[in-house]
Amino acid sequence: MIMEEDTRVLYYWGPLLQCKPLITSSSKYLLAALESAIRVFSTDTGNLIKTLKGHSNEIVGFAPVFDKEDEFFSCDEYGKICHWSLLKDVKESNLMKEYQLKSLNTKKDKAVVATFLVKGSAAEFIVGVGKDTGKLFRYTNPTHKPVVLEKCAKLGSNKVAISHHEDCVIFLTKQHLQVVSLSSSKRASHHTGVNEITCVMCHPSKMSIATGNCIGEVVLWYNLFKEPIKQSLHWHSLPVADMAFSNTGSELYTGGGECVLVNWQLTQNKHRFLPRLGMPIKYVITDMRNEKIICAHLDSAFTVISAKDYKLCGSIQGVSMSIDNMEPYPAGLTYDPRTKCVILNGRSGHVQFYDIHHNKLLYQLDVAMENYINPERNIKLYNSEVEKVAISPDGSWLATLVYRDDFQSSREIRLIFWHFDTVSQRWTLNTSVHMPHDNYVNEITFMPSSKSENTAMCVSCSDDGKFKIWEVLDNSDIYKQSSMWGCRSIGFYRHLPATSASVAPDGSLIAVGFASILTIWTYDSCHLKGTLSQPYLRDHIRQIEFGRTENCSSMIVSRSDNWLCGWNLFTCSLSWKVTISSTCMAVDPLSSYMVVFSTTRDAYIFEPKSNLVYTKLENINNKSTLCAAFVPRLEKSTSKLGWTDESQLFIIDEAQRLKLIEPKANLRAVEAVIEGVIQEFAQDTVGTTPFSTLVAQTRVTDVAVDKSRQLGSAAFGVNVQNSSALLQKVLDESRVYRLDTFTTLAKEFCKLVLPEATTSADVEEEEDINKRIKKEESEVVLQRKSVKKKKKQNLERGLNSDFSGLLSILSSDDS
Amino acid sequence: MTKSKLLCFSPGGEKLAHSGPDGVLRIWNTTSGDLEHEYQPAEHLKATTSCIKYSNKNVGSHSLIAMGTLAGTILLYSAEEAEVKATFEHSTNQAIMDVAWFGSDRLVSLARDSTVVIWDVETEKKDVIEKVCEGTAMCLFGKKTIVLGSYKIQVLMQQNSGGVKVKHGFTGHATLITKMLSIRKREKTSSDQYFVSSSVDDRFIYAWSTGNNTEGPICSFMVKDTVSNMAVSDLQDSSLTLAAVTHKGALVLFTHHLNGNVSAKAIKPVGTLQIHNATDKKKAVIPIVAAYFCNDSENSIIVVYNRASVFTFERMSIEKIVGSQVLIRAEPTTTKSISLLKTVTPEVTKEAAMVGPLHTAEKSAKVKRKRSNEDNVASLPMEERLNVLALEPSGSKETGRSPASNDFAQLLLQGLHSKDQNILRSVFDRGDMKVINRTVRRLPVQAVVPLIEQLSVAILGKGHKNANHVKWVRSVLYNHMSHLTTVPDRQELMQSFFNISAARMSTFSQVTQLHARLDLMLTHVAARQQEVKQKDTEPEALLVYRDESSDEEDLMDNVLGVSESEDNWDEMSDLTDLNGPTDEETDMEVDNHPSGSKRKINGDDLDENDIDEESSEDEEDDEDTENEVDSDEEADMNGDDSGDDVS
Repeated sequence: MIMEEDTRVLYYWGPLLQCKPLITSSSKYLLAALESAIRVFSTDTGNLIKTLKGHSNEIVGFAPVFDKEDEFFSCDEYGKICHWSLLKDVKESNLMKEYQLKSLNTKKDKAVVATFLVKGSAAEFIVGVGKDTGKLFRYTNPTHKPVVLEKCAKLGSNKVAISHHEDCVIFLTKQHLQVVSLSSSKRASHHTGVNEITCVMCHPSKMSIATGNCIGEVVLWYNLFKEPIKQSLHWHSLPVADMAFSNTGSELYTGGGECVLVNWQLTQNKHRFLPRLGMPIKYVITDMRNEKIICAHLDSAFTVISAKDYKLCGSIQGVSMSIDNMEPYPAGLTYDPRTKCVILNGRSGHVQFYDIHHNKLLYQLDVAMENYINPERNIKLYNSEVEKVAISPDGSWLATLVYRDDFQSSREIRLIFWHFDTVSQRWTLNTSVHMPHDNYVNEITFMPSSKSENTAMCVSCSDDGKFKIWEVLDNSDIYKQSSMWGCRSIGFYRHLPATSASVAPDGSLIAVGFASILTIWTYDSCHLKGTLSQPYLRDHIRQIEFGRTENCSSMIVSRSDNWLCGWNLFTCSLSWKVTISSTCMAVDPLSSYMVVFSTTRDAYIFEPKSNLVYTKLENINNKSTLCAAFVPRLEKSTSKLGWTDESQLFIIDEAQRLKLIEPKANLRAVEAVIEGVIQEFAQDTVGTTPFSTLVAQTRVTDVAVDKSRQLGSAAFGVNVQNSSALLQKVLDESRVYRLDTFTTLAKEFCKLVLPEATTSADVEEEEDINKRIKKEESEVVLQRKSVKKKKKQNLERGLNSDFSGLLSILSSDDS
Repeated sequence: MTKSKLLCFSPGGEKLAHSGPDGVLRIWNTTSGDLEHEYQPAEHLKATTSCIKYSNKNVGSHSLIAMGTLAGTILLYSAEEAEVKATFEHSTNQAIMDVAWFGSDRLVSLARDSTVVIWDVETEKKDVIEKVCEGTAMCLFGKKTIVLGSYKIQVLMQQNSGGVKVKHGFTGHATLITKMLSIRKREKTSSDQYFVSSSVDDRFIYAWSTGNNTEGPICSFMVKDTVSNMAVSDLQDSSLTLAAVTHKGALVLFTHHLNGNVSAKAIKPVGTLQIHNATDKKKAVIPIVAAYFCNDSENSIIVVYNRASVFTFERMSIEKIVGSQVLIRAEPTTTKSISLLKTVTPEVTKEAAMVGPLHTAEKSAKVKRKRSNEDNVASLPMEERLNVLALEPSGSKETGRSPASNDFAQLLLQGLHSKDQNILRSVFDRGDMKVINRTVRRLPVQAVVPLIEQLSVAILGKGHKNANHVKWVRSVLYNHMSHLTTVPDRQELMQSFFNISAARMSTFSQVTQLHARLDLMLTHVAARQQEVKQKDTEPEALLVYRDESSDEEDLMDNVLGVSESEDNWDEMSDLTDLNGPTDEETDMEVDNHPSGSKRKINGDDLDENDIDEESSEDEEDDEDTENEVDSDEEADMNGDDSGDDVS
């Protein structure tokens, strides 16, 4: 029996931009939805004031109650509507009323957008149901059946607008802009043109609207119910992400991917800019008092702008979200012992120091020191990203790996060592190593035992098959005492890619994973001491961890995609292994516990000495875990659960949510611990019979993958037609200022020459054609040969005779 | 000097609130060191803030700051929401001496007229306790106990019926008490409560216990300087850590076991901490103004030091403060503005090293080199060194030459002696071989080894300058080889050059190969393009030629005179015919060929080589191509022949 614990998952932070945030009518608070909770921020200080919990599903829309201060509605995806008031005191609930929209509480259809028309205390709700396009419902009363306004409207948080001036709703269909009056039966439809409209906004006091489209043009529409009059405002080059009118309606604010907030002064035909806001703008929000404009950026940060002087006056920021949704937070979570924060990826090229105990962003450190490059309209441009972060155990050195690969020119890799200068209390650049490795760096890690600045040691390992040991060198001269980082030794093994590395807690050994082989090296001389491998363990080692405490210091745990293995260093053998497809592993620095997260979203707490599971946490999250870290507690826990006494476990999941996992300290669990009810996670034990290895060997079948690779790399599809241009391209792109290695050039060349992907069917077809052509050709050749032969015979004869004969032959040939 | 009552840490030590002399309340983040928030009360000129205190944290809301003023009002301010939550009027024009909180919802204020008011924050109910005793400082215990101190200290107990009862009296200090701190207990061992007090111009801090029957303190801490502020840790295992901040800006740390027993002896400090200015030559003290015990597992303490109202925070372990510790810190000069974007740009100085990809360093060699270097310096007596530095320039003056730039021996020597990277860089950047040779030749032999060491460092950098460095190395080897052979550790000396050149040259052969191949391909491509152009400009020339009979003689010549192209043709062709075909026939074939090139031949011998190759492939003569066609070219051709399978 596996002991299961009730876990309490505390939601710390996540993306805040699932629907358009709202400034309350007093301009004091900003409301943003974090899944089912509403976060209330102060617009003056940027602090999180409170979290309102009333919904149980994702929130899709907010609307203010105009004539009552700080009251608002919120609607979730299953049609639950809550009426809140922020004026009430702390002890009372802020929730005033709840409604359930009729026929929306089924789990089948999810509402994706909701806007409200609020008049006094009565409100009408416009709710869109569907995915990208869907039905648009109108509820005059929550309990009544809705009216369908449109069956296939485009839905999105800024694609449906309500005019409070004339009670009409504006939305988009495939080709048209629809204007539907709610008070009368008037309805108008206007063609939108080729350029897709990205956002719609209503003027607060006039019957006119503004639309933004994908080429960055803002169009103001007047006289909507008859022949519309349009006015075009074009500054943006990227699609207009969002726009907002000022409360008086005389000014319009637009924002997009350029990170520039544009203020159009409609009455004077002028515009002004607020550039360099740092990140692309997702939403623009104005308040009702004309005091503030808030830009919501893609990384879930908000910039507060004073409307009077059009200047920045504050920011609201929690954990900075990663824009790249494919692989957020590549650097993972790293605990900084000096500030007691966690370090994770921030804005592009930054790392953020997040105070996890107080749930507050400390600061973002600009590591790449490059300006953010905006995307072009059709091209994705690449910024330098921090891919790996490591910090020395005393917190005095920070190593960051900055990586940029635009898939065109050769990649740029920089390993940067930062030193925390105690005198000035700032991070200072110590050493920047350009191209520390020839290929992607898989891991950088510091020696966990070094306690002083000058004995720090760092290991990096890369896909180029090498790992390097870096250490502090003396770089002093008469002017200064200084130090720099230099590579002391390089190790490689069988030209396999070095996929992970770890340093023993005492600093005597380095474990490096070369593909599926675990190798042990001495630290001092960088000698290979041993290799540990099993024939059936074929997937690449992703993570290696030494046992941290006394009782398991001889153990190494290696994690690959499908296996978790414990190796004993005294006997140099595999002591246990477990099949588990895992996403990440974390080690408590203060205790012997480790945690591994499976792809089935369970977490297993174990100790490296055996494959016995200490605790299994089932289904901790609805998304799989990307990275995790144990963060030492500020004060020791009083719970008797063991594994969380010293540290707390924080995770980030695929939806970029930062969460704390804590077991509920219930009696049953405590008893279970006392009795020592611990079980194995899987039935595997090591090598009970000689056949067990054979059994395991059948597990891995990569045939399909291999085949496709072979076909892709074979000479079948080499496209040399335009090779000259390609060559020129390669030569043009190779950097003049540095000598690119041959391998990088060759790879680029091959990338250009080889077609993207050649499937087996394509190849067969090609072969068929080739055969046919060959056949035809050989026929032709045969024909020609016979003709030739004849001619030659003729010629021979001619030569043997005389010129007249030859001439006659030639002339006969001509004819 | 910052008044201790105007400084207050938030519960947990996350923030520090400080009411400055300008009446502005500033909230600092103790972890990032940012000035997070500023608040200027509306009546900051009339009603100057006299004391501030954070409330305990309430679940789900933020702590409030109670600000007592000289005008007798108390503001409850929420820094998170930037809002005054409530304003209480204690008594008109009676300055508030101290405020304190019972938990998060009851506030106790003490005014100059010795009245104590207990406020209920929620209901704003006022519970006045009339003149009990004088008080300048106050601390609270539990839910009902109030300790007031002026000269004497009195412990009051709030009665259920309302009003208070004096429970205990202590002798107190000789001067007015400025600050009293209650000591929180981690474990509940006994009901006795402890607190500490400090007073104006007093060099002692006293600890008192409510369980003590006498009127005296249970122990006294000897600070040796007048106390301006103090902080206490939680009582854990009846052990207390106390930090006193002195007027001179030092932090004095005490540890003591409070077990209820009275100790007569003054307790001596276990450590003092001072912060000196890094930039100032006189090592002026940067005063510490406050400290906070984090009470965490590492026993850390947050030390706050400032100059001119800019606070800097540093978290350190208590264990580090042993004996007299001096930290050297830069002076926080500029007032940080309220951080807007929270982006910190790290410091980048020129001292930072920028190195290239192949930067390696042999540790053992490095150590050895260093030693030999020191030997060298030591072996040169000062006189000699002076001679080297001073005499030769004067010599050059004697000859009356203007300082010539054609050799850098002097500069280089100076650079080598001082190890000044600027000088060395300026010398090594010269790439003129003549200058280099002249300089190196004039270099005394003692300087050769240091020069090589410096070059070995310089060559590690990246950029085009490396080319010049190589010239220097070459010149040194050329001119001073005889000396170098006598150097015992020459192997280690030259090791790094060997390493770096090996590493840098590792791809050289491949790159040259690549270069050669690309060159070939490109010339071929260019030639082909030209031909295509030619073809475009003169189309169908062949037809003209056929009609003219006068050309036949030329043709005949070609046929009879066995041309080179024909030889090639024979070699390549499978056909075992005795005679090669005539050019004319070739033309015909090319014309007839289904997939071949449509190139026309004008009897030009230069082109024939190409024709041969093409036609050889056209005829599917895969093997035996003796003509050495470059493999790349061949690949190119194959591609043109729409996947013709020639390997």
